[in-house]
Amino acid sequence: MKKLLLMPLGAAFGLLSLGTLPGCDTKTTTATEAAAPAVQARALEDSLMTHHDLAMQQTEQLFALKAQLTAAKVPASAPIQAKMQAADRAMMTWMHQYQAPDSTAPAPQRPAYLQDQQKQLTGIEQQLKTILDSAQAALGRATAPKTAAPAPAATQPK
Amino acid sequence: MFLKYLPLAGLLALAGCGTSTPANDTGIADVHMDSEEATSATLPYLGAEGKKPVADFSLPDQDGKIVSNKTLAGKVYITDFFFATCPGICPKMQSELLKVYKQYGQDPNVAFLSFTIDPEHDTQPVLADYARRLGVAAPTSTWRFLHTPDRPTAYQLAHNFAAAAQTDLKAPGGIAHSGALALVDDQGYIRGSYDGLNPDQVALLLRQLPILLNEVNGRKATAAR
Repeated sequence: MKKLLLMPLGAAFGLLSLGTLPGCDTKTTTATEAAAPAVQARALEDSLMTHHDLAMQQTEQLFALKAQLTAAKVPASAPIQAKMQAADRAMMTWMHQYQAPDSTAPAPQRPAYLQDQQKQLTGIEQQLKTILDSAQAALGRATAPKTAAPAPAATQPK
Repeated sequence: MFLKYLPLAGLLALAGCGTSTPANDTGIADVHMDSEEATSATLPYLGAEGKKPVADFSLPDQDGKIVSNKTLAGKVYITDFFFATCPGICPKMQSELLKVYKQYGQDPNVAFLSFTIDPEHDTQPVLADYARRLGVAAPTSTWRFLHTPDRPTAYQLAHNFAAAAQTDLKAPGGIAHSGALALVDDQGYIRGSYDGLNPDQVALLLRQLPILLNEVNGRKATAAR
């Protein structure tokens, strides 16, 4: 009996809840929508900085390899060194022009800026990787021990 | 140019907020050791090759004055590597080091050295401007921003410090971009190495710095006798 009496109350509460929840949802959604670009921008910026750190490491490797190429007197390494310089220049130019958008642009504009910066940086990372691979290969060829000339085939006793 | 440094300004504002509160409430717990602990402890000499001083350097600072091992003789100093347009770790690292400077910036036995790894961009005026934005630009400031002649030299210096401090040579951003701080004693030996991006590590530096100063003062007192 008690249960039966409580049922309409429960139903009424349920309806009330249904009536109020959409309102809450609207508010939450609005707040989420407003925060979305900022959250997205934060994630994009974190990713960009991770890539920046990687590119910084590649740049440092580039200088180390350049010194090794020079020290090893790798023949005809001038074109490689020129490409190394170009890749380094691209990285430095990117760093000098990059402006953290959190303080320079309203939140809705930040994701587009960061995506564009990411695209640029990905290209530079690839440029760095390609020339690092070439430089390492050239250094490897120059410093690899010379393989001995193949021994003449042993004469089979007749 | 101003816009480039806004992130730095924001982080420094945060650091400034922290320092406006009492020293023990800056987020760095127990930064000071009691005097008994400080006198009984000794910092080790770092370096894979045994006791070896850092390599010689002689570089102009943001005011054009030369800073070298000789001008630093008798002082304890803390080093880092940075560049003015660094968008990632440098502002965080410098704001952490600023906590140390706030406590030891007035100590004539302590110096702070930031070596740029982007000397082409970070000219003397840029370094002076950077120091001004950091709030450490007074001519008497013990925080000096050093202009390296070129990037290979800057990287070499970073490697020298890292090797001497046995820092992880495979840091994600490279050695010169690792956020590492080195604590160097009055005789040029590295006595501490810290992750400048980690507040706990900077708190450790703040605990170890008075130990080293105590040792140095003891040495000076002995020499004066």
